[in-house]
This record gives sequence, structure tokens and C-alpha cells, in this order.
Amino acid sequence: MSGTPLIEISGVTFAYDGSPTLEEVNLVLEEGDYACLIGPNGGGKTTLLKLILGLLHPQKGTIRVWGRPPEEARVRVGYIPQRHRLDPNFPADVLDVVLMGRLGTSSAFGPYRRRDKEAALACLREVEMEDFRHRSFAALSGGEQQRVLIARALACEPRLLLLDEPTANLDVHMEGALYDLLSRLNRRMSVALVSHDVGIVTRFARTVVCVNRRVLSHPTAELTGEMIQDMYGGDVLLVRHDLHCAHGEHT
Amino acid sequence: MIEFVEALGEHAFLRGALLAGLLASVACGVVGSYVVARRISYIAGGIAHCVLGGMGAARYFSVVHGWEWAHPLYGALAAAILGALVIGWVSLRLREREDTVISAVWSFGMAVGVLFIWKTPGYNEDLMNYLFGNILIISGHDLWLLGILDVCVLAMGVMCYRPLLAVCFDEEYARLRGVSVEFYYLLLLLLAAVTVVVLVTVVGIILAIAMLTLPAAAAGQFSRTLWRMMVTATLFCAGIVALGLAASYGPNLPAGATMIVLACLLYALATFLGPMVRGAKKA
Repeated sequence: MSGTPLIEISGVTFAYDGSPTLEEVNLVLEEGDYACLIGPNGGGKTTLLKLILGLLHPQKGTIRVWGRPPEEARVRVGYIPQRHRLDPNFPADVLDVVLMGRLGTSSAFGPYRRRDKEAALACLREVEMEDFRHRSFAALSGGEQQRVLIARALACEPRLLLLDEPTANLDVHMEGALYDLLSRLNRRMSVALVSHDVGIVTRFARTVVCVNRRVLSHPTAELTGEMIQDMYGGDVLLVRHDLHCAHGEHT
Repeated sequence: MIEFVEALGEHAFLRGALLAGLLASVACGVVGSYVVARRISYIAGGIAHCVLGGMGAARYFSVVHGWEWAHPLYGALAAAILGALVIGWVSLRLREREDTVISAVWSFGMAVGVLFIWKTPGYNEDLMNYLFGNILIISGHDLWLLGILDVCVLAMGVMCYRPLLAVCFDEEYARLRGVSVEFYYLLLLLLAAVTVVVLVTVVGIILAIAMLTLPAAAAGQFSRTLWRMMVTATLFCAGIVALGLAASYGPNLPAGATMIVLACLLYALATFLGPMVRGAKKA
């Protein structure tokens, strides 16, 4: 597999109806990367993720994941969708939700196998949610639900994690914990996440992918304020998390 | 109540009615929970109402053309399955017009049914029985058919629990995990269709949808997982059927309508108590 890029998108154009959401997109991400997709709302970030997952199909161009079509590759891709899409009253407990990630690894009929349950519990342990396994998913806080959805994504033993706005509606503390978890997971798998929060890029991601109908990618170290301004087409409030002041400097 | 228990010992038709109601409760609890969890009660309503077309047609052909085998329940089953496939196909292909198409199937089925019944000679008591059910006139043949449908629904609903749960909870994610979302969505609609036919014999076309959804929705208030919801909903259904029969027997009330009033009361009570019970568990 060495030499084959993780994701290779060439000449992709995609439109839902009428004018294209994404146009002439070229992008290469390497195995082990931690990429952050940023850009304005409606710029095509989620669309790009769905193309990589094979949930949408481009009108033009090709997408390869580990050199294969997305529909074949996605058995090894863990996806964490936007949480607000899910029914807030659905009757399922935490273990149920994580076990859904095991579908496709064994026969779908009859009850879950012991192996599936053990794998699901291991994933819950990984996100420190094992004690919540019999709690109702609907009754969890946003941050806890997000962790469970990550466990569900881990349950298929993925080599790539794709996350869509994982920090939406999380408080700062939860957000920090989530990024720590992703950094830890990045040691053994590639991570790509969509965010509207430019600040996180400088702290965690290795590659930043700017998505606004067209797509540009840069190593994080080269990202400048001008580039972000260009992409959003205006001033952006950018918080530099890599600069810290000593205690007492603020009054 | 004692009067009812005594009558149960005396009259075979009452035992048949109770048995039919209890059989229906099993399918109703399992499929009703899927329907409520997936929020497709409107679709189930459309399927339930278009059943009249099939029942009316079957009655017409058996009376006018002497098709002895054309039992109204077969007509109901055919119409329900056809309705489910049409609605399913439309909702998978043309999502944005889904509600309009459901209303169309809903009304078309009823209109066709009324036309057939209108052209069927004789005294048309049938229409009222189809619309509001008459559990007391259930025959041995009906009971067998109910039993077979019940077993089919239960087997599919239980065997395909995992993929159905995944499709109900998060369709997109199920697709990513290699689950054939279209297949299981259609299967769910077909299960709903068969269950509706079973319920039509108990409470009639118009009330079937209430019986399918209200006990399940009430059970949802106290259930953490879908399978617990199914078990609770089945018990609720069985309770409503038994209590409805007993309560309607003495004062000679229509059993179907009595059951639905009980189902509504149960649902109201559950909605009121549910948050309290959940709060108490958490504390």
C-alpha cells in the first residue's frame, strides 16, 4: 500500500442542482495525516466529505481512497456525522449505537455476537464512555454523544476517521478533550475533520484544506492570515491558540 | 368484569375475539415500535386507509362475480402491500413530494373502496365493519390468517432487528456500513402494511393507525432501547385489547372504538408520567 495516497481527488466537479458546489477540485492527502477542512458555510466542506465516503457521486473527475473507489474503501472509514441530524428521542442505549458500527463486519441477521459486543466495549473504553454503556443515548450531553459517535466510528476498525463539525455546540472544555482524543487516535489512523473554527487548525492539524467551491491545501505551518482572508472573502477573527501569555499578563 | 370472564367461558366468539386481539398485539407492539421510532406514522396511515380499496374490491368480486375465494382480508393484504410499495418507491426516489403522494394513495384507496362497495348489491353493513372493525365477527379462517401473518411479521421483525434498528436510527450511517437501506426501508413498510391488515380485523381501517402507534409511543416514554419498547408496547396492546373487550361487553359498546379511547388515555398518561419516571431514575 506504500506510495498510494490516502485520498486522491482529481478534477472533481459536483453540483446538487444548477451551479456547482465544488468545482475542479484536486486534493491529495497522505496516510497518517491530520487534515482540517475549513471554509465558509455552504462552501462545500460537508459535500467534500460525502464525496470521499461515496454517499455522493461527482459529475466529473475521480476520487480514490487508498487507490480504490470510495464505495469499496469505506468499510475501513469511520464517519462521525453532524450530531443534530439524529433524532433526539430515538430509543437506543449507548451500546446499541456503538454496535451499529459493527454492521458490515459480520452477518446482519440474528443477535450480536460476543465478539461484536467485546469490540464495541473496547471502543467505548477508548473514548472513556464504558460506564455509560446502558444509558439512553438521547439523555446524554452533547459532548458525551459526540464521544459515543466516535466509538461507533471506531467499531469498524477504521484506518481513516472523517468528522463533520465535531465541536458544534460543545463548550470549550469538551472541545479541548475531544481534540486531545483525536490527536491520540491520529497516532494509529488518519484523521480528517470539517470545522468552522479556524483556530483549531493551528493547534492540531498537520494539513489545512480550504474549501470554498474550489479547494486548496497547505501544510498548517504555512497557513497565513491572508490565505484565510482570501478564502472567506473578508476579515476573519482568528484566535491564535499557539500563543500563550504568562500568568498575570492580562489585567 | 366478572360478567365478561363468565361470558368468555360461554361464548366461543368472545374467545376468538380475544385471541385475535392478542395475536394482533404482538405484531402491533413490534412493528408499531419501528414505525414510531422511524417517525413514519403518516406513511402507515396512508397504507392503512388505502386498504379499503382492496376490501371493497374483494367484496364486490365475490358478490357480483361469484369469486368465492376473494375474502376481504386478501383484498386488504393486496392493497396494503401495493400501497406500501408505491409509497416506498416514491419516498426513496422523489423525497420532496412524499407527503402529497401519501395523501394521494390514502384517498385513492378509500375512494376506490367506496365505489366498489356502492356497486355491490345488498345491504352494506360491511362498510362500517371495514372502517371501524368488528372483532366479534371474526371467523376461524380469519384467526388462521392472522396467526400466519403474525408469525411472518414477528420472524422478519426480530431476525432483521439489527439492520432495521440501524436504518431507523441513522440511514446514512447504515448505508456506509454496507446495509442495503432501500431494501430494509421497503421491508419496514411491508411489515407495517401486514400489521395494518392484522389490526384492521380488530379495530378497523380508521382506528388501525392509532392502535399501531399509540401503545408504542406510550411504551417509548419508558423504554431505553427499541427492543424493550417492543416488549412494553406488546404488553400495552394486549392490555388495551383485553380491557377494551371487557369494558365494551357489558354496556354493548363497539369494541374497536372502546380500545382506541383506552389507547389514547394510556398515551396521554404515559406522556405525562414519562418525564417524571425518567427524572426519578436519573436522581
